[in-house]
Amino acid sequence: MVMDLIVLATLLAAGSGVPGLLMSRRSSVGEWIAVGLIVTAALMGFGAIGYQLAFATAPAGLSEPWSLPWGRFAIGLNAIGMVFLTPILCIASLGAIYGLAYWPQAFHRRNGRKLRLCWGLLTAAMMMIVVARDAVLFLMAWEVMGLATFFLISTKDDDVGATDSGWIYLVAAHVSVLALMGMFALLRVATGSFALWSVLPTSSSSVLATGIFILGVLGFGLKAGFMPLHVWLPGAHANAPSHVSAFLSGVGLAMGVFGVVMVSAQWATPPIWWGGLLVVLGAGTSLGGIIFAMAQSDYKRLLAYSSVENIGIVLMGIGLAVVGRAVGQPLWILLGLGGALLHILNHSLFKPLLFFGAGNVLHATGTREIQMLGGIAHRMPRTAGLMAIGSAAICGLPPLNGFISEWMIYLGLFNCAVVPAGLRLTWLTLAAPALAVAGALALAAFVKLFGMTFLGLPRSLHAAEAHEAGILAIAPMWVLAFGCVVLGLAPVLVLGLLERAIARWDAAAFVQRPSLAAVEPLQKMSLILGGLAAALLLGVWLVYRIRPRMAVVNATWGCGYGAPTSRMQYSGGSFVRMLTDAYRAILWPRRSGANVIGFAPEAASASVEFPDTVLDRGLLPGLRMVGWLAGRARPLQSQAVGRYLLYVLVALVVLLVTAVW
Amino acid sequence: MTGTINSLLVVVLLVNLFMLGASRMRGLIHAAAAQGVILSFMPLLLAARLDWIAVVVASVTIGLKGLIIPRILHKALRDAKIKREVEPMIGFLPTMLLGALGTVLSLVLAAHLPVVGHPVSNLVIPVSLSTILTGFLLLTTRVKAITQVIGYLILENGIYIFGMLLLAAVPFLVELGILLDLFVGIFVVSIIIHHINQTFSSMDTRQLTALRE
Repeated sequence: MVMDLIVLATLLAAGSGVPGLLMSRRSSVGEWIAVGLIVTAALMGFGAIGYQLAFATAPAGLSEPWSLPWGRFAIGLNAIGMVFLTPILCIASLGAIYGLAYWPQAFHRRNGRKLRLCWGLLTAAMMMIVVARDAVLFLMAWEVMGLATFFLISTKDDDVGATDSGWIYLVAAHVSVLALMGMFALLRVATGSFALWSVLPTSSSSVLATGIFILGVLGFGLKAGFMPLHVWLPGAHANAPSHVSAFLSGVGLAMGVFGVVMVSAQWATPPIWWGGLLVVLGAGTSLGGIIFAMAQSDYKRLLAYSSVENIGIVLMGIGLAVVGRAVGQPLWILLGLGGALLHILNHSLFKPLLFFGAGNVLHATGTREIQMLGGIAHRMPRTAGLMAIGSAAICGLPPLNGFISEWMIYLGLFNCAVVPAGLRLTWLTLAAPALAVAGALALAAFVKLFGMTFLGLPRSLHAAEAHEAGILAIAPMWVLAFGCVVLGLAPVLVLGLLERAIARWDAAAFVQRPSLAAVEPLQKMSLILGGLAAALLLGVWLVYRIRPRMAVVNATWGCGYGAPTSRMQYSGGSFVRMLTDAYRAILWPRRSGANVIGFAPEAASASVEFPDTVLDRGLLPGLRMVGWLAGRARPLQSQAVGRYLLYVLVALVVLLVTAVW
Repeated sequence: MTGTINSLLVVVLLVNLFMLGASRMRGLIHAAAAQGVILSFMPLLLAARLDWIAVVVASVTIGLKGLIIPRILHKALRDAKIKREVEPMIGFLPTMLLGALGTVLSLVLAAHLPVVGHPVSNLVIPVSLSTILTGFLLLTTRVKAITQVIGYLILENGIYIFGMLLLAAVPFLVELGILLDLFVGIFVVSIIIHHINQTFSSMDTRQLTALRE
């Protein structure tokens, strides 16, 4: 029954954009039908999850043969699947509602229907990925996800930025599919069937197991955006419509993480180096991601790089859990995997919240440049307030949800410092300072984002004439912000789900301690954080109480100057100048313009941009080189018939000679 | 019997070399026709007893290769007012040397090729390979469209010789079908040559690259 509900919900979601296709371009009925179908599908999905959590004793599953020569239609829902399914359903419906305001059919007649069709397909494909129990079905869903995402990214198909990002994504998605095909082929060798996610009998140190793991990390890492593999991510998330960015970033990346979690669960004792590799990858990803985020001048790119950082944090948690499983330290599994899964849930709350807010700003001002904004908190107070909550949550500030999950991963990493002697794993603790640096830089990045965008004085007419978004755009943000606060204050709410998921990943995790709560005093935490929240609210209230008595109307951050102008403010670039200089070995900035020397210099201008080191400095020049080399072979194709016949002759003689020798 | 076949095969080899050295179109066409006629007699010599199918096939082949195809080529030559010289891309002597080299190579290779059963003559495979190579050499080193057609004709002759190894296995009807294809192909090409000549007033296949893209 649970699986029937899931299948029905998937079908509803997949078809949600179809009625709109049959209607006129001007009609807005189609978009309401699409939203209705998506929300219905989400409610059915939640119903299935709730039923399974509350009443079911055995894991749900469904397996039917189909007419394809390989595989079968096998699906199932376990606790890990539920952890990932919840954000899919949640953000799919909230994003669809947000889309009513952000991408209405009335203003986007050319591509509104395409967007909604692909939105539904993407939702359905991700649901299928999470529940698939057969490699063929999984790959089909993965491919549909890739294609739907491609069309969503290039929704504005007349915009060069959007189509370019779409193509880069498509290439990355296909490399990912290629790696996964290899992985599933090896899995088939190992198990003899296409059934997925069972514990494999083969030794985890065999070449086969190593191949499966490496191909899995490569294929899923391309989707999740592990640091050298993140190349498609910033451009795609910056150029896609904002609610699409929210969906892709908050939920889409999690599909890659889902894959890594499931692949690493397939051996009873994985080798230590797998976990070590994941921890190192995670540390690098989170540090690299946030360093690039901080430097960006486009606020949507900034958010995209921040997603890379968060995926890195999740990856550290998973790596820690894998090491824990390898050396038999259940505590590491509990804290590592628990923190990672909770962070996935958290990231799917605050990242869409921030992207929705960014969408409101983009809609109101028409620019993605932080440099052009400023002071719009006065004109968009609700968006500003909600963005502030999201920014605080993503920086891991208590009492919001980001804090809890990062804290769990911290605890796990610190635990590595007190391992029994002889394990030689103390070095894992070094990931904790990396996480701390990433957290500090995240704070800088989001102070830059929020401060330069919403506070101060408007830097351009765009900002000065901003307007607040409508209720349909604000309401989904309220829901997400509420989620951030609730999960921050009462993480016990998802404790049961997390424990089940950890038990599904490795049942041995609970041998020493009966529950996650025994490891981590979440109730006590809730009380402390609640007190903190109350104190915060009281402080805000007090400030508002005493403000009227000392109110002086002046320019924001006017510093008492007689005639302050908006050009005297810090710019986004100068705000983080110190930090970007410190990390210029990684950022490799491209500076142009004059150095100002001496007193009373002439008018001069300078600019600095931060191209993606991997994509713009490594991959694209490398590919251009390959193109150049291929161009050298061009004269071979002379279009003279005689020449081609000569090739045939040479091939014939060579073949004859080699055949005889 | 084998002595006759061997001497005929040697003649075929010599005709190959002659064609590579031929500087006049007419000579080239005549040589190709002569080679075709010689080859057409071979099945008659090889057959255990003369049945009417072998006779029909041989006479059709002789008619096509010895009379009709040379006629068509001569007519194309005349109609298109092509200059009577063969235009080589590399000289006659070098191509002849290449042809001789090809023949030596074929002899060496044929000695090493694993062949099932006993061929009627040790010369069949080397002559076949050598003729195929000659066809290719004509195709690649000669410029005019007509010489290309002759190149394909020689290529087919080489394959025909190879087919003699499988005489028992390949029915003559299949051979007839191949012959028909060849005939139609040459017929069409000669018409095309005529039209291309009328339109572009050049028969140089090198100029065909101007048509690209």
